[in-house]
Amino acid sequence: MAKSKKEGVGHVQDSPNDPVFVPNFDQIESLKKKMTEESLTPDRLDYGDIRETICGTTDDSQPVEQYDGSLGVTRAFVDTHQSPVGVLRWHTNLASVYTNPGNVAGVRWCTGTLIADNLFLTAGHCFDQTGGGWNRPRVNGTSNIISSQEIATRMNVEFNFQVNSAGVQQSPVSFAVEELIEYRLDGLDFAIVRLAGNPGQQFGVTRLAEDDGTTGDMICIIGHPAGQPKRIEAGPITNFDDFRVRYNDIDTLGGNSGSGILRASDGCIVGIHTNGGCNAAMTGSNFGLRVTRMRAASPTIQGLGAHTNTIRDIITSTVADRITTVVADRLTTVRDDRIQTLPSFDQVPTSILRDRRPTTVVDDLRPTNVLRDRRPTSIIDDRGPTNILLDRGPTSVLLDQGPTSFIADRGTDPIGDRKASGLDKQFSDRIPDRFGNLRGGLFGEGGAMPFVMATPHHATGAMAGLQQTYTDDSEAAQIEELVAYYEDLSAMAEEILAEMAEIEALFDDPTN
Amino acid sequence: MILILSSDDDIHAHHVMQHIAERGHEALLLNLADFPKDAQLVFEAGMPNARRILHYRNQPIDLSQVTSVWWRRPQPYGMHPDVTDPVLDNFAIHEVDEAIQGLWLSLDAKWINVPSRDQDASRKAWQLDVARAAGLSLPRTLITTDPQAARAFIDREGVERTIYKPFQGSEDAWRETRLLKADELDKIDAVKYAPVIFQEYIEATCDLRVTVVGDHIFAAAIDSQKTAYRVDFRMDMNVDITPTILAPQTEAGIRALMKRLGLTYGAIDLRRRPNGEEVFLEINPAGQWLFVEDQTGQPISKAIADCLIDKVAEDRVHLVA
Repeated sequence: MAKSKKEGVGHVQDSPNDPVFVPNFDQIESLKKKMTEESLTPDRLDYGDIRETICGTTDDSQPVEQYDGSLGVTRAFVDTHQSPVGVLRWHTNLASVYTNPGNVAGVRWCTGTLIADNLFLTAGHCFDQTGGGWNRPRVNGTSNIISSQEIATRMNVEFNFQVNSAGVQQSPVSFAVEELIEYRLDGLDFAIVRLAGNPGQQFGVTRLAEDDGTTGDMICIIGHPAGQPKRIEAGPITNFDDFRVRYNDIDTLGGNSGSGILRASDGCIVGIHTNGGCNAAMTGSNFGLRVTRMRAASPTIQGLGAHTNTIRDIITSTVADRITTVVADRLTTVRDDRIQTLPSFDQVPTSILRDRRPTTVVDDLRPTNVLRDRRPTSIIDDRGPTNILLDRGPTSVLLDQGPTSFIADRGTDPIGDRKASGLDKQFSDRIPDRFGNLRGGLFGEGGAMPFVMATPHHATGAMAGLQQTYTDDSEAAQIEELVAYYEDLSAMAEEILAEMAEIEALFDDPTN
Repeated sequence: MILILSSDDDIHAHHVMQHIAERGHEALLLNLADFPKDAQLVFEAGMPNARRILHYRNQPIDLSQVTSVWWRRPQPYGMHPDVTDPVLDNFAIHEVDEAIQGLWLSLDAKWINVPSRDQDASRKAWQLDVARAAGLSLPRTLITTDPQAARAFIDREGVERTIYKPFQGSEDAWRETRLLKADELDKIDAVKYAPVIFQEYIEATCDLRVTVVGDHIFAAAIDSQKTAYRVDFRMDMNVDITPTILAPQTEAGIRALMKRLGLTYGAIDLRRRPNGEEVFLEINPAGQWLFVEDQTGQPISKAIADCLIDKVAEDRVHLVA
């Protein structure tokens, strides 16, 4: 619900029925000033400031991982359903592709939802050639705006663009748009793009409902208002008219366009958010496209097959996966790996090493370096000058040094010698830069494992002593955090299973 | 002046520096993590008295006075944090690297090791060929991404008779050398994701670590078969290391290997079979040595210091041929 404070500015929408686009902060003087003065990128602006500047109001939306459960859906619901929600983002390199790239490079543009491992459902107007006061790229050598198909393939979809429960922005995971496969069919404002890789296997997929629901149903919109880190808002369906589903109590901004409208009762998509009415007078109108209209127009959606849309499905597709693959895997492999491989030499407390070889204590330096060389990771150390990874902390190198750290790492730098080669590109695109951003790669947990890593350590006996002695505080804290996370998820799963059992009992009850 | 490229806390470097100081010479440890962030390069050419200066830690270093360089553990460049656009950061790193690589070539200095040789020599596939050509014995080896070829090799060698190992691993993903177990065969298709080195397992009485510094060869026997993990001696630090004498053909092979690889320094791993045959496993162009020196008393650090101090006329250790 919007709380009126003052007159809004910068809202680019000619009539209530025009689709809303993400606002251009460069055209909003106060936000532009703030970004310049504080050296902020658009994603670091305060959401409340943006909202208030544009709409003259603040709203109730909350960051998905900080959601307090107060808006009409549970925290578990948001935890489960936020994951397949991603943001369409224009490529950052448009200027190297187009002589007239417009002003959209890098802009987080629209929201959407995974409806299959590689299919992403969003609003049609996200691929329109006009609208929102933005300048899209022109075909080189002409003044023509690039086609909708080309617009789509000049975008990536980022998942996990959100802040965690501590408010720290997470690294998005990015997937290329390969093809715009359905666009405004029957004139309806929806589109489906095919993504590279299969992000659905990692982030889960959301089901589409068979029906539109009814007035008063609690619904939830998870998305990227104004291209900001992922937020959640909720409220009831106000009414239906023609192809529209309306919900005047849910606050959105441009950038929310394309969000799935999720029904609280089963988590299914009952519509696509397309229009947000954002003004202080509350006369604007929020609406989206009804799922039944979209379903009738879309061969792709029809081809997804029938779903039972039960709670059991949702558990199977998301919660259970997360518990078994993410948590279990993390606990058993990541933790072990980290404990065993962590001893990046510089981090191993010297006292531990001394304890292990008191006889070598010749002087203060000697024992640590001698033993240090013999740590399991000396495998890597033997790489010598080609390997700087070694002398650095376990997390620092790739993240802090960026894609080209490989160059520095390798000393003589084979990659740098071939900067323009495919290899270089592959590295720079796939390795987190030193700001923590992933560049266009297909990253994430749970993928295939190379043979050497797919098989366990054998030298566990020899390493046992190491594991016992080596756990520094930060490592212990991380493990505890993982354990806590696991317990949270387990509790959540228990809750859902209990709920399921209740529902099944209702069905089984002959008196019903 | 002697230049040592490494991190500030490199204990091996400090040991060598101590030996250099004892001989009354000067060595400077240059940490590239300070460049360009906290150091300034002035490189002039085409003018009288052209300067080659690096302002480093409040001290102008005259690069034209550098007589030898130890390519020990060069660190990733330290970039200015003010550049926040990843594209521009990438640009800056490449530009720094171009300048620095050119600077190395312009030094009229002796190198341990010449960086390009060091890099080439670290390639495990190539080392094997060079070692073979140098007359050393090798384990039967297969490097492959083909599951069928992997299966055939394992069939021939036998389960628990074949070892497999990564080329280098990465900082957060690595494995020790392991004997292949029967149940691990189920996952063999995963070789398609990244090549794997499969080798005949060498039954051994001991592992050998041979540290070469110029003409000096320090051979040590590692009593690996009495440790908790006999396959890979690095995994158990409670192991006895003693000086040993190599078979003459092994020593000759190692000298030939070093020459062919163009290395001044190298640490070589071998295994000694019960019949006395010594089998080459790999060479690490900048492997560690203090764990050997500490137990055997072999003066390896001193040899490195001497090598850096003494101007030996050896073409192969000069970048400028």
